[in-house]
Amino acid sequence: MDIVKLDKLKFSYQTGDPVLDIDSMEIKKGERVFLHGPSGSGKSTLLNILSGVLSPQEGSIRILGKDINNLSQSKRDEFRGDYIGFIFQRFNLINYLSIAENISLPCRTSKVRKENLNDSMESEITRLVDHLNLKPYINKKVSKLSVGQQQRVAVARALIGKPEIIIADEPTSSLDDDVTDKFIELLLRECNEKQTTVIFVSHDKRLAKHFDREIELKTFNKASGESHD
Amino acid sequence: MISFLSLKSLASRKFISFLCVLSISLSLSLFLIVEKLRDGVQDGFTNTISQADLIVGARSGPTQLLLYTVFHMGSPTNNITYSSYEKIKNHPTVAWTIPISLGDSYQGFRVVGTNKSFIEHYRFYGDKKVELAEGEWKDSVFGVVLGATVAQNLQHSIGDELILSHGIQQDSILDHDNAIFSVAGILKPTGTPVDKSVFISLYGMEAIHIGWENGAPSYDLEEDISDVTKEQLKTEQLTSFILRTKNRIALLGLQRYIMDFKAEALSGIIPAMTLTELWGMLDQLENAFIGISFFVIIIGFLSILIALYMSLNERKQEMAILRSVGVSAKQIVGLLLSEAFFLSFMGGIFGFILQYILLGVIGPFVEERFGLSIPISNPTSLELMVVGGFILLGTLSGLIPAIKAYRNSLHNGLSSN
Repeated sequence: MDIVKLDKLKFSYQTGDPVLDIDSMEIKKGERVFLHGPSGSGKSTLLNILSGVLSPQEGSIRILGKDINNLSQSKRDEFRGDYIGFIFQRFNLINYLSIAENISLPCRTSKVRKENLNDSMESEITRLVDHLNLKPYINKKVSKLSVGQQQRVAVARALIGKPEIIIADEPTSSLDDDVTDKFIELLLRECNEKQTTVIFVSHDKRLAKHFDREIELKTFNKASGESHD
Repeated sequence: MISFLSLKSLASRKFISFLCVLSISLSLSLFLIVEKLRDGVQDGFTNTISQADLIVGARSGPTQLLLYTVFHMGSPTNNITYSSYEKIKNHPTVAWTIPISLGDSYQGFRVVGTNKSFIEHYRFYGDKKVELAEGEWKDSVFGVVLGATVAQNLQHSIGDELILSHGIQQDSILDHDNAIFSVAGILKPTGTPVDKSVFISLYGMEAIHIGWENGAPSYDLEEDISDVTKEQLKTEQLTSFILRTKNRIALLGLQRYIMDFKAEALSGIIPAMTLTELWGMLDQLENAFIGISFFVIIIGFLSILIALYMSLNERKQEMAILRSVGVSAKQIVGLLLSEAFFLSFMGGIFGFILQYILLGVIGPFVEERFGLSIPISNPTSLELMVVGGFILLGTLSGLIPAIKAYRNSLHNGLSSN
């Protein structure tokens, strides 16, 4: 089953040339995809479309078989909360919440994610914290964590309540090389357990070796215009 | 979820949130106090005299007659003869009268010549009586009864001797130094001009003016008058008098009788009506009060708006994270509005409490200075509505930052730059 299916997708911002023009792109369930693109290739725009924040002017985008382009804005927001875990490049955490509260966010916003918990929220957080080697820091303020620790908390948040897809947007670009490899291994190990689809975006081609499949955005995207990022 | 986030978020910006709550609670308490002062002034003003049906004096404008008889402001134009007073006093429709004779002062406080009917019949704030704190009210020639403020400010007690001054100016140079009065009684505070009055009997008033028939002391004033008796003193003139009818139905008839009085030109005014008229003239003052309160409140709302608006810039990433976990742009609006709600709610509660603290501090000052008491009463339903409206409008003042955050989150999506 295709978990992501783009068809004749075209997107442009209000003014200017199309940023994305993709004939078709499919990602299967459980697949671990490395999406490569230098800055300016329309990466961020594509991620915003995949997660339903932006909607394309033309073409269709099906996630889990559902054409999210036909959903209302608030339904798309709900859909994103239910099925997608997001990891940002950096500053992944809300600094006025504790580590546990940051991790629990998706279960507070999405019913689906909360129902997916096998156990109580507390024990799921404890389990994730254990797996991601965060136990010694659990009571620290998030602003006191190192970048690597923060990114691992972000992984825990993305994973809680078993979302179908994890989208990671350059999550390692602020990490040292040796930490980067460990981070990716940790992420993929956790996703493997639950057959979660991973879309990992990076400009760093060396990381492609960790993944099942590599998508070169340039070859998919026929739009030549400069994008926002 | 949203209120969980907004409370945590406000708590993380403790200092700014605290300043914001402080400034809006100050603005609300000022608003409430100004409203109370306004009501207190009007209340105190219109309740200075009650149960009196008419004030009668020499023909003049009603306001003037009221001001000098009741508020001891301004000076009487003319006196009335005692015989006219007696004639009206004995009119079959009249229940009681309080004669008033003015023109002297003591250390800047007005001297009021009257008799026992003052303490028996004078009423204020509905049916409050003038009561003695100590001593007694004897209609003796050289006995004096002091208002509460006079006794307190000048540190007088029963038995103290004092000399009155002629005229009502504070720096009067003519003293009635051939007559020594002694304090016979001290009144309880009333919150009316009574507190700032010095009461003597009509006999005393007459005694100190022996030899002053021409308006100034004659040469033989050196004579000692301390042994004059009531029998030797005959009151010829009064400044004005207050009366009550046996039956209100007779009031207008009596008023016409006074206006058409044959022997001399008199005015009879209905105090309640004139007080209302006078207060109407102070409308401008009232409007100024309202204007000030209004702006004070606006400033409070602005501080909520500023506090939230300024926070948005550093919260872009937070918004992106919230959006990524499924929070809609509309819920972002809800988040900002609920922060505005909590700020104005706390401001509303604190402002309400602060009002009573501030009233406790400035209340005695206002009472002392202006003779107006601002009673610290239970909150009225109007006041609770003001606080409720304040919280509502305070929450709505979060709309501008909320709309800004809404636009930001639609435009920025899941990126924060």
